[in-house]
Amino acid sequence: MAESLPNTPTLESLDTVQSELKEYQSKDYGKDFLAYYKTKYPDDYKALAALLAEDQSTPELDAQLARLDATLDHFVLDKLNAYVSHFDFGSNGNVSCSVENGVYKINYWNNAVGEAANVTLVKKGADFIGPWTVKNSAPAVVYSDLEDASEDIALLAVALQRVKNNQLLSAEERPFVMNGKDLGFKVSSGGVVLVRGGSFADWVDARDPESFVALANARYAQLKPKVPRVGMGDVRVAEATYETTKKTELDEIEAALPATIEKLNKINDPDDALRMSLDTARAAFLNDYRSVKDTTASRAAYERAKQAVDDAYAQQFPTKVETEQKAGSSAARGSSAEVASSAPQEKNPEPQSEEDFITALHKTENQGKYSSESTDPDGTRHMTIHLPTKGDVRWSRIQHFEGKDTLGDPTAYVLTSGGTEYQWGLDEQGTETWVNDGRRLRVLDGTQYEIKAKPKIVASVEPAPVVEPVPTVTAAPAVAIVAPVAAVRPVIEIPRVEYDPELALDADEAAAVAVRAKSVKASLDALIKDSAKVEADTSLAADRKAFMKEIYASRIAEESQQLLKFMDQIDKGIPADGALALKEKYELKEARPTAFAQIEKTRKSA
Amino acid sequence: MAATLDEVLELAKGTHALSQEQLSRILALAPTMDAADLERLKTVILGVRAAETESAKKQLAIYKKAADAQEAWSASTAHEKLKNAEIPEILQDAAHADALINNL
Repeated sequence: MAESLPNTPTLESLDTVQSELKEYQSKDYGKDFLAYYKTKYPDDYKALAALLAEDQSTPELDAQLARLDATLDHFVLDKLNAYVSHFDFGSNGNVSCSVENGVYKINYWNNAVGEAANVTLVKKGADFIGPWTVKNSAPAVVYSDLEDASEDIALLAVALQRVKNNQLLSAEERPFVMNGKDLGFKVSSGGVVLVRGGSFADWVDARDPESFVALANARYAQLKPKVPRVGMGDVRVAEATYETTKKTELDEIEAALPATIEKLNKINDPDDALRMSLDTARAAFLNDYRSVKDTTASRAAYERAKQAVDDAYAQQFPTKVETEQKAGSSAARGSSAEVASSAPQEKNPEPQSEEDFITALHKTENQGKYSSESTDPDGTRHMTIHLPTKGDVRWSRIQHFEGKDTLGDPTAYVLTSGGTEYQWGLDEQGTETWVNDGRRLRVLDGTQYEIKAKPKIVASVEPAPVVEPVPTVTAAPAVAIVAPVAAVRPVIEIPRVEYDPELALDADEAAAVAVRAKSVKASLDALIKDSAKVEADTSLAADRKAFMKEIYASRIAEESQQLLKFMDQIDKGIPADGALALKEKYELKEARPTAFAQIEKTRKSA
Repeated sequence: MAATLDEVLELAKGTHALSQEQLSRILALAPTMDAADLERLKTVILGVRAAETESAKKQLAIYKKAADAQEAWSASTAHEKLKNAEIPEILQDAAHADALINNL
């Protein structure tokens, strides 16, 4: 709400007075007149001399200008306080912002060190968050240039708005995303800790926000199966996971591409239909990949285009395929030369249906027609599939070659093809087969794989799932924290402490004590909050809970005494009607009741 | 009606009592302010302006008083000078008259 001002001048009225004033300001009075004026009208001369010396200030104007400075400072401090409120310091410490001589400072009270330490924030762009340093030295400068401050504040505002709207953040905005439900920073005596709802903490180098975010994403991805998704963090989990899985998919496609192109170059494709189809499908997949979209459909289209190339090649160069198969076959296949010299259609007439194919496979597999095989001394079998005709390829399924029929219990085996391990499971269509991350192994002419029994020890050394704490621990119930204090307050008699001129503090001393009192108050609040969490935690063993409560009670008692000491200094040292009292005492109005309530509580429990 | 950014900036630029630093701060921060902050800033600048106007009026009064005094002083000085300038002429006339009388 705007304050009302009496006789507020318009732009015109001030300009009129100012222009009239200018005529007089340029007037030359002459030293004879001034000497006469000084003697004859000493008071008027004094006022005139002050104006001529350009001392045009008045107490009213000075007060208004100071009020303007304070308003601007207040605005920046509000923004800085809103900014630091997104940091979760837990019970390690707390942070407050102040301004001195036009320099803004963020003061960090470190409970571990037990005295005011300082946090340095550099002021520009992505570096805004770091480096954090915790020192026991003079307060660090945050902003000396308000233009820079306003830029960051504006950027922060946009970032927070986007988080609120659950939108993805740009790399520049990401470091701003921190609160108890999402990524957070926890500052302790040794450095900065990344926290996510208290469920994990990693030490990171916050001087590099990009790697910081990357680490956070990687950590999220790692925890993904165990940590329920909430809020903005999920978006980033999804993003990180997408990067990992899709990159593998892209690598697979790119690795197989040269062989496919080689085939394309050899086959007769007069209209380039196959090449265009492959190019289009690949472009669509890459587009989906780069746009972070679902690639299932585009990947399937690409595989179909690639399969069409393979089929065309197999159809047009059956002999070459046979020769290539021979080259890739193991020595165990003694009759290969004989097979190669015959037309494949004659040896393996195209089956009319999948059923025919399976029948033919089962009928001929021992003759090595559809596969060649060698076995290592340890029992590992090496297989190469031979599917010289289009029909063979069409009906082939890996489970026809290796499955329950041949292995009994396929889950006891691991199949490796092209460096990828496949386990027996369900594919995207729900068919039992060999799959890697839900995708089945495709069987083409020349596909090679090895299959071996899983060592029994493998099952026993599978890491037990790590039970992560539920990340909602940061969302402490406010009622549980506030209620005890609110309930006892009315019955405690709090002695009044009056101003004592002999103990008066000057402005600097008062500000220093107020900062310390606020720090202790914040620390006390945090301890009360944490203590309430312990109280409400039903998962804690009784003896553990009792021990923790005792520790908290002891700390709370210490902090309460300390806070009272500072409050005494403030109340005795700052007159109740001064401007400083209005500000500092107002901000600390809850301090004394809180401290008394806690001391009373401690006394009763003792 | 709520204060607009342009209105506040125009007001600040027209307030001569603001230092260059204060004006720079306003120019930097005002664009990031919401309507309530702008209104508050406008009120404070108007306060500065009111004090500046009062100050200017007081200065004007001091200057006007001095100017009036100077005018009066100048007038009296001129009369004195004139008087001083007339005496030699009168004496000269008297001497001339005396000389004429002696020559008779």
